[in-house]
Amino acid sequence: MSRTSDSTNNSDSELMQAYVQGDAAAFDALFIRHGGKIYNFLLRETGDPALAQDLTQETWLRVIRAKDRFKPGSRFTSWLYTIVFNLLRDERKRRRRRGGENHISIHEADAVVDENTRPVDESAEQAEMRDAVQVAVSRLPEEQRRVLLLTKYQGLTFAEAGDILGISEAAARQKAWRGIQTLRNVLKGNQ
Amino acid sequence: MTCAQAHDRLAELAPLAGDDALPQDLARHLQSCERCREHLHASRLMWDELAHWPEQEMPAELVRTVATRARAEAKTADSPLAIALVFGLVAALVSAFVISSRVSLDHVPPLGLVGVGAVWTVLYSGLFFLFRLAKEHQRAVFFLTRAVLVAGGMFLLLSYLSPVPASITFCSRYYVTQPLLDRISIAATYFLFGGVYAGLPMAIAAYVTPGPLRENTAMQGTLAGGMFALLLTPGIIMQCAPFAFGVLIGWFAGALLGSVLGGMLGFWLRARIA
Ligand SMILES: [Zn+2]
Repeated sequence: MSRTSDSTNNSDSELMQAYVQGDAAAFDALFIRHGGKIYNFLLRETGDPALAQDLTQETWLRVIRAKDRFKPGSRFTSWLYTIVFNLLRDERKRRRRRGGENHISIHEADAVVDENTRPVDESAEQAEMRDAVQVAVSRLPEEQRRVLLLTKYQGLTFAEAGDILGISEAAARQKAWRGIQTLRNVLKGNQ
Repeated sequence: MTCAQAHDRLAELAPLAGDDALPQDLARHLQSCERCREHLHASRLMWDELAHWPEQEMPAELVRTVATRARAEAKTADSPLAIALVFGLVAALVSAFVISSRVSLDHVPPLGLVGVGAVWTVLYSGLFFLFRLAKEHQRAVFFLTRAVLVAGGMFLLLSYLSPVPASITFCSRYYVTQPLLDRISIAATYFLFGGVYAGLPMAIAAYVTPGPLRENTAMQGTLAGGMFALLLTPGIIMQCAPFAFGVLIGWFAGALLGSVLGGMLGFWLRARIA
């Protein structure tokens, strides 16, 4: 393994530049750092484990193929999520074309919860609450949902989330707040 | 601050994390207003509630697949030189085949043929390598090399339809051109034909291959023409073997001048008409 990718202190951008210059181990380091996050984002965004796997794989293949287009010094996560959102958009288009009017788009299905991955030590109420949260999040308007997913689970700031979604930081904050209020209303009705 | 204003401020700031600092006026209102305090508290609870959606491990198969694909892609991407060499060898073989199908190469010793073939492979490979390398970052070089490769293809077609020696033989017997060719030396004749056979393809290629329109068409033409003349050299040497050295020099000089002038003309015309 090379010197550059050994270090966990390297920034994403540095690792990406090392990869562009032929350091294959730098790619592994980036994948270890962000692979799980991207997979979980897609899992939450689509609610479909098989689709999330496909899209995760495709995301990283696009990183490999488009590596020369990465601008040195720019934010890697922004670039990565741009790829993810492009893939999601393409997938939605594909489904719409295939299904015509009667398509089931991502998120119209309720089956967001994967029974196989339920924690063993979870109580019935906890499980119920978790399922309710997942369904409610999945039904939020797209931008509200994405801001919440990016900030809550991906650990991004509102400014970073806004940057990725092409909106201002202020708009990202407002969407997050509005999303939280919607969830409160929906879940109050559930209880 | 009124309750409505407090709600608006909260929506602007979205202070969802418990430790988010609040501006003074808002904090003061919250201290005195239980309803707004409760509104923020319930929102933060909801935000915390989202944590109950646990992270999941990536399936091992997915990790393996991405790693394998990354290795495979890296392998093909890492050997542009090997790819260029293969392309170069194929192009050199095709070129040698086209020439040998129209011109007798009996007078060229086998070792000489191998040497010329090797030089041609290196030249073609270099062009293909430059072509691929420049595609992403050096668009100007990319367009120049593409024009040269297109011109190379046209030269081969022209040589196949009517090779230079055959054209000269024909013209030296044709009653219109015979008096002119009779008056100049054989080397000058090859200079003339070499120029036309290089200049025509280069001019057409420079004109038809799309690319950025540069101000400096003379520089573009010189660069592309120089590369093209170099690419033609093995073909000229192969066909010149039975002739004197002067013919070789004449032909090469004609090809170089023709290439450069043709390139300049083609690029200039394209810039002019666009
Ligand atoms: Zn109030």
